[in-house]
Amino acid sequence: MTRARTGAPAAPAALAMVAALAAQTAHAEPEPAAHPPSLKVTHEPPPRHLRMRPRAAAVPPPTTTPPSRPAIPMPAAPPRLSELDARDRDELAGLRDVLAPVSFSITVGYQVDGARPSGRASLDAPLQVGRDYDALRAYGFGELFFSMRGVAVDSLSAYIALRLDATAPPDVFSAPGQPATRIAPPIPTWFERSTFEARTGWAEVKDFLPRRLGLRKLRVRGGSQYIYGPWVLHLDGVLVAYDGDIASASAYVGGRHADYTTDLTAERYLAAGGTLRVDLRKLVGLPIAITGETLSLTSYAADQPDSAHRQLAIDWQPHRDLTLTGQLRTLDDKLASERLQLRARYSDVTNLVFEVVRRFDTDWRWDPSLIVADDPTVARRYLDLGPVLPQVVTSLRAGTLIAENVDLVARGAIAADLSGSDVARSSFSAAYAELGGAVEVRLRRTFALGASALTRQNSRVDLPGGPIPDVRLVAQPLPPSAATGELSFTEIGARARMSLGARRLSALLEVYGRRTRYPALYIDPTNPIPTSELRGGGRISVEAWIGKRLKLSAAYDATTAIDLTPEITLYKSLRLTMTGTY
Amino acid sequence: MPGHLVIAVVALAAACTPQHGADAPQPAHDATRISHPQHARIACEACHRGAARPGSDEHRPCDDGACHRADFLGAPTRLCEVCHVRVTAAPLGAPLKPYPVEDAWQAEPSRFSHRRHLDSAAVESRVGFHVTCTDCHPRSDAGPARPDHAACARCHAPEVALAGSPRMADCAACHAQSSRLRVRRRLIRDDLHFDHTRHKIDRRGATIRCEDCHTQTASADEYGDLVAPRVESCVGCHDDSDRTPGVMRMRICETCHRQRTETLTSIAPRNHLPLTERPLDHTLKFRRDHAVAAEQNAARCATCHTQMSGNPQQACDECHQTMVPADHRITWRELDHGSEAAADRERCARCHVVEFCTSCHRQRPLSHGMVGTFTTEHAHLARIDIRPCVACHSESFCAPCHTGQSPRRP
Repeated sequence: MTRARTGAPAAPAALAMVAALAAQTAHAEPEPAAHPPSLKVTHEPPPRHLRMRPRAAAVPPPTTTPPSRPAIPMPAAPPRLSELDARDRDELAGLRDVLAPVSFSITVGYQVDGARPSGRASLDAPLQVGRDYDALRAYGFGELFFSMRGVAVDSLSAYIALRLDATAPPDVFSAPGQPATRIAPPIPTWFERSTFEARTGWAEVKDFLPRRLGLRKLRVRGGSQYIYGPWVLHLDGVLVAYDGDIASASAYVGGRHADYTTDLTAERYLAAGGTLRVDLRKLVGLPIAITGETLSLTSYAADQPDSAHRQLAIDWQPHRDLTLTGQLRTLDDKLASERLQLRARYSDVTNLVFEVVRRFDTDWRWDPSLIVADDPTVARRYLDLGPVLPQVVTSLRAGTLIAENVDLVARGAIAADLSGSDVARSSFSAAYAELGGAVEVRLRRTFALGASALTRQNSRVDLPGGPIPDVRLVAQPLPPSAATGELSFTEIGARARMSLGARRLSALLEVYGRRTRYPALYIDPTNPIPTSELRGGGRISVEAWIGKRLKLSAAYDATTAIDLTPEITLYKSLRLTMTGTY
Repeated sequence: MPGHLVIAVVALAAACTPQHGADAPQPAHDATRISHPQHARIACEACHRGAARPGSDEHRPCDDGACHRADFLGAPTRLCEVCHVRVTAAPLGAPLKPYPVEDAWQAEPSRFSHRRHLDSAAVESRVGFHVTCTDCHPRSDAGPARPDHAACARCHAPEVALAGSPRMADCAACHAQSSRLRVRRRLIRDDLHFDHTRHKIDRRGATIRCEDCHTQTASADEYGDLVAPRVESCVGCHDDSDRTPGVMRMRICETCHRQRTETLTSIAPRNHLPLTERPLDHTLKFRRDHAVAAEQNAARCATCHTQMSGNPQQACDECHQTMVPADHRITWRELDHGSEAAADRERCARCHVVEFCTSCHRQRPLSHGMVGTFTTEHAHLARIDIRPCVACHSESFCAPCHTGQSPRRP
């Protein structure tokens, strides 16, 4: 459709030219022509249906009314998004406009955990009615997510994630002559308290400096935030970052935020680090990106050593769907980890990841802030996962979608213990082989059935003299660490899924069975020791949306009876949540 | 594994990477077709004189000078098949092929920019009007027409003289010399049927705009940037009862396919489902390896995962604070997590710090039951799997009993 911007009518140029030629002919007819007219056509005349009229080539409007042409239905201009009703707006915008100035989500929930008493004694204690665990434990929780961008100040954005827990104080048991003891919960959790904490809360400004300085892409973020470097670090501090096309860099400093605990007396760390990434693709045409990262942790408390972590990664991406990454990480200037990863993709839904990771004995123990073992003479503060032993883990993961309805994924991994024969092997760094996979077939538009399997075979050291004879009430020697732990486990699961749409109604039913095998470290002729355990469980969850803003969900988890916990019949949990989004 | 070779491997691979921008290999030469790259040094008008077929004037200009004169004076060769249907010894023995050749090999206007033509504000500011899709692709009973040179001439003819626009004689303004074969891809193939004339208005009578389906055309800088309408763009209307009758749902195969095949493919593929469905690439594998996709386009994640801010940088925590891995079931904390932590402690450390572990492991385990009883009864559990014991208790703790040095020994 052609619309003239000015007030001049848009007359067809062909008609205009015809009119002009007619006028010329009328004026020239009385006088004899000095030269014979040239009737040779030197160019193709504009088509008759020309309806456009350039402003620069304005021709006097025709004196006669052009013949009426059949009206062609032209599309109307689309209405502005804000003029649509809420339902259409949601459909058109997908599900949510992430560029909205303010968006938030509130979730409130209620959960009940429980374990039904079986009336039987546990394996390690006689029947203890009323004091082994709570029959039920209920607590409430809530989450709030709030994000804001461009409100009041164009360059300012903010994000806040809050968490609320409200739980009853744990029950205690007081036996005559004994101190009150806390009754253990049926399912252990990290929290047994009412809390209100800010998981994340930051404000960020960017594009606030004059452009002539070339720092338009500089951003400054302050507050409680996560830093993704050699470690996913929760930091209460400041981040300064420059996100350029060729190079990006960041520097941060602040205090490490220890999640899920209120006891911070000995866990204070000052964290500082930086990142520099250079994309050679845009610099010299090589499809390589080099990233260097550093992180230093300085402890406030005594007996906690400082540490310095550095990481170098090189991404080679010769093709859009093929990436090879090499990564080195050091701890206190000693090589701690190497990683080689190949990622390949074909048509969005077929993916493959091959990865080789090697850890050295100089690596951290649990996380980058814990690099030394506990002093065995003091009260134990951490779990003992044994020394860090060199290990190589090779893994392969692949998945595809056949006919857009058959979803397949397979994975395998092999871990090798590289510690020498003169080093005591650990049960926590054992060699293993793992194989798993899953399939999901969508039978109808709303239903899908799936199955999964996973097995892991661990390598354990055989006891030199065979199983240790166990005589009741006589202390027997402990087996070496490398001989302990499960030999293998195999898990098989099935699931059924129903969905009427991502924000309508969906339900999920999952069941699984798991068999674990243990090595025969002790032998008791009179009371055979089980070497395997079989259990199962399942979960059913329903999620329903009321309109486009309110979501209700319920989930019920339960297990079968557990061989090693005969005092209960099962674990169970009911979780109800309500989420509102804007 | 010689770990230090990692960098060497990557560096070697980088050195072997061909530089971007290198010319694509020349296509196989077909003697029966005019190769524009081989005629690149000749002005377009030298051969294309008006609308007539090049060579129609007694084989001029093809037989001029040193070009193909020898071919025309000698015995007939396959060169004749460029214009004639076959090679014959007798003059005028073989009829001419149709011209212009309307097949998949036709040179497309590779430099034509839909974006420039559909940038209404820019076009108006320059020439005083703007154009829309139907100005070049007029709707008719047979559907939108494919524009020819006459359509372009309406604005680009010399006598129109639009300021700043290329002239029709400037062939290179639209047709770029390229050694790449241009293959026109058929979008409607096999048993699919689609009729533009039935997509003028929807059930409510509202006009269906071109850009409703051709969503990226207005941003295509070149012909190669044109993206065919995705099936997902059909679903928005075909799943909306207000816009499409129920019998035309995408899950009904006959809506678009002439016949229904009774195989797995007869189930409506995922991209035939409403936009609110789970995206096509959200496969089982995606649950494990989505970090790169999330890093590249966090705003896409935030569209559905409303706890996310949509901030393009560093947004993993916004989801992972609330969405736990699938294997973190009700028995995870009590029974399963130990073996996983032993197998891959790096996986734990991505989300958890050591304090998270100790917050539970400092508590007296449920298995220890009543104070005073576990000392004598723990063997039942320990002899099945002693590793949970040594996770907290060292040899020094156990030794007094197990070596006979402790008064607590039974």
